[in-house]
Amino acid sequence: MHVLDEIDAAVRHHSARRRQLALAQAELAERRFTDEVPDVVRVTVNGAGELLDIELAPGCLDADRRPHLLGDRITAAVAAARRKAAGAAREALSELIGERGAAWITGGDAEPEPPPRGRRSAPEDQGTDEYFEDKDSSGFLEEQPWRP
Amino acid sequence: MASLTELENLVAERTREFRALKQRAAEQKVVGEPVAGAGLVQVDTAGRLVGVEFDLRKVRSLDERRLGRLLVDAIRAAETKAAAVRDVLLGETP
Repeated sequence: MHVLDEIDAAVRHHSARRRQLALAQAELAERRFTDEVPDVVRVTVNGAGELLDIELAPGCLDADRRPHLLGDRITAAVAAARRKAAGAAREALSELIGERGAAWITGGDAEPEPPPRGRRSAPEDQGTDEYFEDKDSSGFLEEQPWRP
Repeated sequence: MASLTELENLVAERTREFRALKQRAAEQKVVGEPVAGAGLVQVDTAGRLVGVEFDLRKVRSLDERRLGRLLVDAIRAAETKAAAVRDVLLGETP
């Protein structure tokens, strides 16, 4: 085979692979992945990990539903939905471009568990925090029994 | 004496290490975006949502459906900003 024919074949092969990859990515973008904390939040992302919807359950901000934990629950649900999407994307793309290439495109394990933040990150505060969470959930902080 | 190929490999390896270091440094930065005055979402420059904070007194004035939509908008806006910050930190702006 002439060297120009070889180059031409390689270019055509590369173009075909790029089209297959673009098609696989388009198909992934149409897929939906969800994660939820029952009765609190349901998060939907597409196969590219793009956030599409956050559905909050009615009453999730009520005092007896621990609304102060809502932010952490949303963060965790978004991370979990994106992990599912990344796993599916890695699986789909690795058939085309190998596991290393797929891990590179999907960011590998780039969506780890969110780190502990805020007051709960201080171990010495955990006892106090849990104490007040329990008091809050039982309505103690809302009742103010000392008031007439 | 090292061959040219060995030197090229060494340079490529050091370049990769340097980029990985810059990437890790960039991921430490966090971008915040307000949620209609009732909260704040935080995204790191790798695009990860790292936190959602609410002002519980103000957030109760919003119904859950509207709050969900506002959160999605705020997270997307923070991700866009975070991507711009990442590009600057990694020196990838034109």
